Amino acid sequence: MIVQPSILTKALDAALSTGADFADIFIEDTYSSQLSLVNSKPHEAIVGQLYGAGIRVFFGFEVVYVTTNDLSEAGLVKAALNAAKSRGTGDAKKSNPLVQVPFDSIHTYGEKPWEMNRDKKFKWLNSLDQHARARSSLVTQVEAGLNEKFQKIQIANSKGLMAYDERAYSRIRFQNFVEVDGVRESASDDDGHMGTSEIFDQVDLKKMAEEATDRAVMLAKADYAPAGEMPVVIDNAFGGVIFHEACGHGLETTSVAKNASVFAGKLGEKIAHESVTAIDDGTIANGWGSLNIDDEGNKTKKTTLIENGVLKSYIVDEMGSRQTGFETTGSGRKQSYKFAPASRMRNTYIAAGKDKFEDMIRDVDYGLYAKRMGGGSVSPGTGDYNFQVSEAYIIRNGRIEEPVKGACLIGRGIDTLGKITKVSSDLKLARGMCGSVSGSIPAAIGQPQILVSSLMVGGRAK
Amino acid sequence: MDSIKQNFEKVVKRAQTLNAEVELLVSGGESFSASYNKENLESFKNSQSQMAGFRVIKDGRQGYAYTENLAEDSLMRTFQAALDNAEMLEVSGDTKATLLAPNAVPQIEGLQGSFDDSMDDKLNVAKSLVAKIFSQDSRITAVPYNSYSEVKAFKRILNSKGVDSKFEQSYCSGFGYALAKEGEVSKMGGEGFFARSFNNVTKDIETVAQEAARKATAMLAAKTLKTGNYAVVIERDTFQTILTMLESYFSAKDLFEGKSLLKGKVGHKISSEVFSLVDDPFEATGTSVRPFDDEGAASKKVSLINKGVFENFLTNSEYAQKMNLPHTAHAARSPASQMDISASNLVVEKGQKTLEQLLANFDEVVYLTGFTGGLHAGFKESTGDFSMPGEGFLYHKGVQVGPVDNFVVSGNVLELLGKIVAVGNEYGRGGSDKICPDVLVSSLSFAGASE
Repeated sequence: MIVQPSILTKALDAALSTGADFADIFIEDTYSSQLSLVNSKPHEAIVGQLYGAGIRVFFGFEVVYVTTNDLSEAGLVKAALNAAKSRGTGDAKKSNPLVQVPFDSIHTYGEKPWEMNRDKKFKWLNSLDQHARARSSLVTQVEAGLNEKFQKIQIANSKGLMAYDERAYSRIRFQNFVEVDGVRESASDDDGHMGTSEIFDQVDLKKMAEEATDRAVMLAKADYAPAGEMPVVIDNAFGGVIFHEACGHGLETTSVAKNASVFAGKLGEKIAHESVTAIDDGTIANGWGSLNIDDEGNKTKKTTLIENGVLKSYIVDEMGSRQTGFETTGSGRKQSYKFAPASRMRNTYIAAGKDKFEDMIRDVDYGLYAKRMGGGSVSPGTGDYNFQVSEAYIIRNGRIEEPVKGACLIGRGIDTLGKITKVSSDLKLARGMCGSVSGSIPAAIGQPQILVSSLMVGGRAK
Repeated sequence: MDSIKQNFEKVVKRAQTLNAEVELLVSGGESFSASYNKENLESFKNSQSQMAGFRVIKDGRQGYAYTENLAEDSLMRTFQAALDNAEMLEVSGDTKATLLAPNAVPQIEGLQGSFDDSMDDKLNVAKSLVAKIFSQDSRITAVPYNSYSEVKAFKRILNSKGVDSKFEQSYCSGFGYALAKEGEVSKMGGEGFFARSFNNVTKDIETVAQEAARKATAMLAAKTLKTGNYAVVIERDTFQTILTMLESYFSAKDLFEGKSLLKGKVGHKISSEVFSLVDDPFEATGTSVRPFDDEGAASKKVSLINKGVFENFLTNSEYAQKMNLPHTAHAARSPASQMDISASNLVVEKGQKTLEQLLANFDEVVYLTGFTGGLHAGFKESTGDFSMPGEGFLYHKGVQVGPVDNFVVSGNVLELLGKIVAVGNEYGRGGSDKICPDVLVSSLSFAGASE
């Protein structure tokens, strides 16, 4: 507990003092640590504390959001009155008595980031550096970093909900640079989870460093990808960025409620090939995008978004629920107290199908095998998306052949969903950071391998 | 003496007993923003924030820590955490970092505009922007992203050598994005504004609304472009993305770390001679105006590319020393980050040609009016290669054929500089830290419809 319930009640009553019909308070005390290694030497060590509150007030469909760093009774009440007076002129209301939300955490944590010996942490980073340099003399630079965050949150609202939770995140990241006959290239990888850092004792850092080094050398020798429309086989794990961008953002009520999504009004309709079932799941133990409760205090859920091609649910937060009438899915999320929550994805993936990867490749006369994806972006209003392919190969006559670099894939979400013609049984998830209206949040993405019958590949025209 | 100064002096005394130097960067301010869903207020946000970040140097090693709690005991704990961080690191390179001594910093006038108008007036601007966008064209079905925001911000640097510099500014900004629909086709287009006085915004709203609507509706009839190589006029605001791709290569820190693609290029031609680029922290129309950098050094205007020749890397005091380069005062950090180097306002020098002349320069020209995806999804900094979706218009002998989209434009950003044929004679509407005219490039690769 960060702030006493009696103080929260006073602040909530202040927030309701001008006629608002709902108010909540999100309080945060977050420890962050970043360590990095460059040129084989410890390079960066920063620790810090975020400490503040966000007070949100609903006047019907209007949202007022106010932040403060002053968590004293006087500070919170002042901020709450500021929120109330900025819009409201109605009669005062009272909040319901606060009752703690009972839940058992589905996540387990080890040593807290500030408790763990930092020599141990630098040992992991050194290991990545040394294995990369040992793998190839072509390596010119290695950067390795460890980001840790331990977030304590407390939420209370005028309906009487009160909740407290702790969330730990750990992520190790690695990038190397190579130079081959004057051509420079780089490759990167990462690992991590919602949890504390002891898991890196179990991660095969040697494999991570060596595979990234091999990939960078391969890219330096590769030709540019071809340009034009062609069939594309997208690998599992981070390949799921295609669903995240092509469809996931368009299912968030942040867009749907404004009719600014191509999926608005399509609930119950077939929006994808029948081989596609898609899930947004906040309940995976220690999953990168998992929660116990969301940033509005609601228990997280596993939500089926698309079932056999039919749209079954949107991704719904409290305001989205108010605007659309759909029940909240426990998906109100935000980066920190500085942002008002919005409907956001958690661990989002295309469910396993029945097809075989080998058959997908065999089906393609000429196309692209996108083995590793980079970042992606989308305009939810139009559904137009793009994402970078960081490792790709040409498929020729049903066989994976030479590597190519510099490819990106573009398309329109609703078109692409209809062109997914095969889905394999080999589902894997990967970590990403998702940026949107409520900031940058951890979100896992995933899929089995999929075959898209035609996609625009941005490469170099001959 | 104010409380920040008082508390800092206690920290300095503690640092001196430990033979450490200490710098405190404090930033924060007050902001509000509002957005509308049609005629209804959708969101109203108000925030007050402050954050303090210590940089502690001991035996040339630098450690950092930050907090949002500026009470004395919290600041002392945060200083200790920064010191602990410094003691666990090693000195990078042969030279040891040190703090700057006090130096005279210039005053920049006109950065604290007048925003005393009533809240109702300001909300009316936000509301009328949305209404005006809808009124432009019946095919506009939503204005899903819109905002009016106002910021009063400050930054203050104090160090144990006596630096105590403060910089305050206020401004307002906003944007409106129109979603246009015709049949099954949807297109989004947006426009923004930035001003240091509220009066300037009220005059500008009609133009912002017209531009947002025009950008969305103009693309409804877009056709595919045939795959191939085309001459390109990169529209002035779109060229800002090209400068963003280049920006880190100018950093002496990236040079030191072996990541800058401009290594060994000072004094060499890296672009066509019609192209010149300066970094100007005093350019009032830019959003990165500042009298001093983030270690307290007085700002300077620096020539980066002069008639095609690369002239300077950007440095802070540490990397100027490490790389034996001129000190350009481009230290950059927030309280929550470690010291880095970054540009202020990047300004491309205007050329002689009008947009019409640029578009008529080749028989077939793509007028690239926007990249439609994020840089993180299409640009690889380590190589300079980019592959970005875009939209624009196809021109034949200077006459518009029509809008085109659903293509990917690819190339290498340094190779692009070498292919610049001409530069336009007008800047855009401002509101960015990158100020550019239209730029004509002789050839880029476009992936579109099959030939």
